[in-house]
Amino acid sequence: MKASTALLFVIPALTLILLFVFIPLIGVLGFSLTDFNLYALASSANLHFVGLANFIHLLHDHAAWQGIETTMTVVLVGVPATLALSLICALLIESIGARWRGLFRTAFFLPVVCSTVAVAISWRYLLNTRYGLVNQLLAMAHLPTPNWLGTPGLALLAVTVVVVWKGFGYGMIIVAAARREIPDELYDIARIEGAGMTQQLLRITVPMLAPTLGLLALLDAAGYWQLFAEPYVLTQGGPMGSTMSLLLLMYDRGFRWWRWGVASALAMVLTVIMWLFAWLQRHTRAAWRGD
Amino acid sequence: MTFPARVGRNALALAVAVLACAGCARSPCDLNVWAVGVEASALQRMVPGFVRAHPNTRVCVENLAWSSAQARLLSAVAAGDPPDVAQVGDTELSTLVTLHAIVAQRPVVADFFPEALAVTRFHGRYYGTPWYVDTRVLFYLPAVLRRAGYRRPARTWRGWLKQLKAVRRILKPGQYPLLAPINEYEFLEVLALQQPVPVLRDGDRYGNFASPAFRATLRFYKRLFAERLAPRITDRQLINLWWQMARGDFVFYVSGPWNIGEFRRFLPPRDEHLWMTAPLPGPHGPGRSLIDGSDLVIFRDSPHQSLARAFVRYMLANAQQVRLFTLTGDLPARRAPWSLPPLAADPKLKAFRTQLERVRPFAKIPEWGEIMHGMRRMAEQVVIGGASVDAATDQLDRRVNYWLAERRALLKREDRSADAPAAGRRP
Repeated sequence: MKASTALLFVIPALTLILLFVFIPLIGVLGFSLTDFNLYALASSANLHFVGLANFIHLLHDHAAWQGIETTMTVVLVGVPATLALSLICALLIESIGARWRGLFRTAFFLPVVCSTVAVAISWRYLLNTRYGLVNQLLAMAHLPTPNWLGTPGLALLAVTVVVVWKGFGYGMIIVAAARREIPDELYDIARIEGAGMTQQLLRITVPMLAPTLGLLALLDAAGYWQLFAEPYVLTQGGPMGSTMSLLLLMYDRGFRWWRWGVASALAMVLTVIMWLFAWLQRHTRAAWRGD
Repeated sequence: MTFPARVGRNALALAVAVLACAGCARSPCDLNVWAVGVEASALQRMVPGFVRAHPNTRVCVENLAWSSAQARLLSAVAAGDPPDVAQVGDTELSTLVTLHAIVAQRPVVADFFPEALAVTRFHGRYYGTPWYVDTRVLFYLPAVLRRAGYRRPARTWRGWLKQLKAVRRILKPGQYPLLAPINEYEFLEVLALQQPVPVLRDGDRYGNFASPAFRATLRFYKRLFAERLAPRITDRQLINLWWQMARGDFVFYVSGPWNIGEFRRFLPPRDEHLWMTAPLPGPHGPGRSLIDGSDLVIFRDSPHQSLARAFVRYMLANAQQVRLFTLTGDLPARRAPWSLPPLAADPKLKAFRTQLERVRPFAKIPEWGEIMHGMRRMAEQVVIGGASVDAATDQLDRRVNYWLAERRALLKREDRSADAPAAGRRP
């Protein structure tokens, strides 16, 4: 009886997941094995099963490797940076007086609720080579004023900065809430035992927050693997494809050039990478906890 | 209420909603017209005139965005629910022809610019009616050019290069003689079209970017950046192009007719004398430019073919072509409206009128857009990445050949079935 009641509650969600996740996923897997493109849309006689040809093509496609590298860079740099910033800001706003706490919490959280496109457009102005605020400040300090969005390495850095700046406020709220859950007694005891601030941070705060941080890392990584809007608005994937994320590349292939076969293959690659990444993350966390 | 009962009631409500929506999906319009951006707004204002001539018809105009218009049209075609008439960009026309989605039309008037009409020609028939045209000319600052010692823009590449260098000498730091955003492929496309050798060969089956002609073009393009005549920036790195040009940040810019309107929108009337237009220079004399624009197409699945044809005919009349120009700045696809007051009186349109007689269409294949973007990325490798012209063009040819593989296979199959009786071929 209990099991069937539980099933009743789960069925709606399961149906939705089946309809909108698993069936499309199988569809994408199917398409990735065909040369589905514009000509196939004109006449199904032009649709052929091509086996793994799309994947082999991607293997030799510089753009695909560059896409993986770009996205992975954003994940590997962006996730730790977001976590660090979330942690630092959460601890800072928890340590200051209640009067200012609300103000800072709102200020840091604001980018999260802002429209990504609007935010990216604002950053485009800030980073303008000739009139942007960033370069005007650099010029005032007599520092070189680089062409931020026109130089490959710098453009990726700029995209990562925007992504981190846009995302860390969310983690900050979660970490701050988790921090409040840590019993004060632990700190009292630590102080009595003679532990300094650093020791308290490393021995109490960070370990107690570890599950929260682990969850945030997983969520952030999942989000950053799907990087799209920021490079789309800031750079359109340029210069020289240096900010072309996997998802942007997939959009390009699929919806701009109507190569759904190749685009589906890219989607499968992204799915597998994300699965691998999540698996790896879970197992390192488990190993770290000593389970 | 028990749980399953509620589910049942909700399901019933959902079913009712779905049925109701099946009714709402059936359009109350006699003629569904899809257009893009400002042209859609203009059409909306021209529809009442058409309705007066065709009483008791309801025309609905749907406004699409440029960025998603083709995806919307293609999805509608794939779903078997296209509009009756649509505005389609020249570059997208071949896609709809490939999909057998639109019908051939006889040209409604005789005085189209020949190249504009040629763009709509596939297999000897005309798919779509040229509605407005668009080409690229030089926008420049006459006062700066005069200060550099020249009365008007040069007609050859060599002369132009000399002018650009002379201009560079009198500019302030941070200012450049030429704006050629590295994410816009049209400038390089125009330079390539000016050469006698096309960038695709064998009936658009293979890339021809490694030809000496294109390599010469690319070297010229590379030089513009290498000698700091143009900045290595994208159009996304502009704050306000018109304001920046008026300040002298850039002296030359190759662009299209919409910028006449944009300059007037962003600059006060007293700055009107600051900028001018001129036909393009070429490798050895007045240069050719590209021809682009939009066509009005009628869909095969439309049940209102004759009304659709009447609509297209109405929009091509002199009065409507001029009205479209006044509402949007779009240039008439026919010659006659050009001698009517609003167009004939504007000195800045003269360069466009001259250039339109000297244009060259691009390859009419669905892959063209992808090939042009590939060309742009290759040019980026050369201009920013320091790749060699020879290696970059060889690599581009390999890429283009891959993109055209499907087309080659299709043409081969068509050739084979053309030898056999025409059974099984689609009309």
